[in-house]
Amino acid sequence: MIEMDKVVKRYKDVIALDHFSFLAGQNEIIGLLGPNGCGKTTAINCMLSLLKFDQGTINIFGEPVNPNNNKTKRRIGIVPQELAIFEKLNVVENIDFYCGLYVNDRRKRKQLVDEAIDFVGLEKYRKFVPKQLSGGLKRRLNIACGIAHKPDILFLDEPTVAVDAQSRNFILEGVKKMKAEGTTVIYTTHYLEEAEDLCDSFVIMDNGRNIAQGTLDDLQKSISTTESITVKFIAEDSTLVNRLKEIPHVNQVIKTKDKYNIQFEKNHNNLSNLIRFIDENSLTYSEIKSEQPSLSNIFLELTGKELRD
Amino acid sequence: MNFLRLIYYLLVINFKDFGFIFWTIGYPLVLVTIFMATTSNLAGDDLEEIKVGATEDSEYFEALKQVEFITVNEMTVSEARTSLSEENITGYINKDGTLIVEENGFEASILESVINQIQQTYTLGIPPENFNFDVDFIETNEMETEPQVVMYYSTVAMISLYTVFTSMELISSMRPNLSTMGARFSASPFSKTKYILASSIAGLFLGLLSNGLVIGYLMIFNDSVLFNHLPATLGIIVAGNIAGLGLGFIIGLTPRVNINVKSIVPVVFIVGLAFLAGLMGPGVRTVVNRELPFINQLNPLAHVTDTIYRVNLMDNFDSYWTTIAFLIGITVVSFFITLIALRRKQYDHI
Repeated sequence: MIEMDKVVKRYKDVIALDHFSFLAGQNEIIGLLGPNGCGKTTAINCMLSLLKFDQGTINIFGEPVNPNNNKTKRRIGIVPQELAIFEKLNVVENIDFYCGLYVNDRRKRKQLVDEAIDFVGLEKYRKFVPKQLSGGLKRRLNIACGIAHKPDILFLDEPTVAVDAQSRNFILEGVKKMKAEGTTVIYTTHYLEEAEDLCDSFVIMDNGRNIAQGTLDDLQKSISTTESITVKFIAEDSTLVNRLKEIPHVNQVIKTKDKYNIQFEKNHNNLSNLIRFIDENSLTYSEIKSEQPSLSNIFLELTGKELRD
Repeated sequence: MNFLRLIYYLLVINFKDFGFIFWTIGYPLVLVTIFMATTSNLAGDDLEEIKVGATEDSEYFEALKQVEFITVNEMTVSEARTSLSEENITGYINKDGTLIVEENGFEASILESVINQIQQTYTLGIPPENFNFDVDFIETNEMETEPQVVMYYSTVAMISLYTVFTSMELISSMRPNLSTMGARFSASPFSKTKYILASSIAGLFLGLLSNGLVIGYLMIFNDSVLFNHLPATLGIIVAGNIAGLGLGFIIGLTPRVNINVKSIVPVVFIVGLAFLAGLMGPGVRTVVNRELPFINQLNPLAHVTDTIYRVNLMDNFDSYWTTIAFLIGITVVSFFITLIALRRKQYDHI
């Protein structure tokens, strides 16, 4: 549905997109992840044909993006990071205004507006103007304005920033529902746990480049980060750290306050090896936990920095 | 969305905006009220009687007797000097028409203009018994303007250009590099032509409402008759509002600048045009017309002011349609420039 191929966008001397390539298929949620200033919003604006780019190609629904291609525009929805709603119009009017940019038929629009209101849970606030809504409810209204016309592709730019837990859950459930209804969602966020829970695949961006793309499984396999197993022993002695290091494929053992974090080389039945070691040494434990590398670990390894750096 | 629905939303967005209502409706009414309060003593109706001395055999004696607000007393030059020093009379007219005053002032100025008019009327050969101050026998292209009337007309003209604010805001709201709404708008398939036309109609409606309120206010609360030809006046005001829309489109197209800076541009622009057109007093207008005549030839606000003045006070419709064509021409050109500038527009920076 979306193909970006080696797109370059320069702002004078700064390269915002550096031969950025990206593929999005139908009916999936793709997390576009990267630190501030990495080029996420620039990439979205290029896909929306709002921004000129210097090199490369972008095709949506098989056609090159073009500011005058209304056929393609009609199938796209956008929820910008900043609120893009009219302070003087109430909830129904705001959604109707934006839906009206896509849908001319008044009866059909009324139905779509009602569905969008139900979708974001603003039924009780239909006649409220934005200043009467909380931050979370305004975000939901912002989303309703972008989805009312039922787009095939939806760009959601940081929709959960500064949103309370209830609204966040509402938004995330809504995005899953949209996917279930056949929409492709391009989702940018700073919250990796949220992305891990929501997205089918990920594009990790840094300095305007696509440094990795794939499912969480793909990304876990692509990095060298080790499997991490944490054990809380009931009885221990001072030699335990050195003895744990003798288990096959152990890279490192870190003793914290009351736990041992053992870093293994990945893909070696490490948990079985550890349990065998515990049995053979008649050790007892109260807690044991094996963790695959999280998106956060992957991001850290790929970019050398935390997402919120 | 159909056209009427879009206009309805654009009107609601503006009507509920306190800033808009204040600056386009409240502020002009306040301005006009201040003018009425501060210039009411300049109006002829409030003139007190002006006492004048003259010799009975002077040909000016009979003419002055016919002026409603002048009381003429027969006296010699020496008696007049005493009366002048005691401030019993404002001035004394010699047999040859020269005017003697003790000190300059408002009444002395009026007296001087009456004497001038009598002299010029005599020059035209009209006998004193036929002298009639209700008729202006002197035709001149440099007719002396009435200060407070020019200010009222300049104010009405200035308000007619206030559509510049509405159209500037609406064009800015379409541009993704200036507003998030603009990003949504530009990413949608909605017709820019339709949006600009709807914005123009909404802006025109609001502008005419504002003008109508000010004109109604002046007609009700100002004693003098300002609008002898109301339909023609409204015609030129509609054209002024249309010109304001066009100028707002162009300002709305200016490159990405801070929104606060952008809001100041039309304010400075309109106040500047109004200043040159005589809002702060006709003296500025006279000097500009003498020294840099092309400025007010291009100044739409000066055109609107002049046309309202000529139509209502001089019954002169000579350049009426030319002015309307000039004002509408500004918008037609601006409309196409705007459309070309925004159509298929992609930005270097958002």
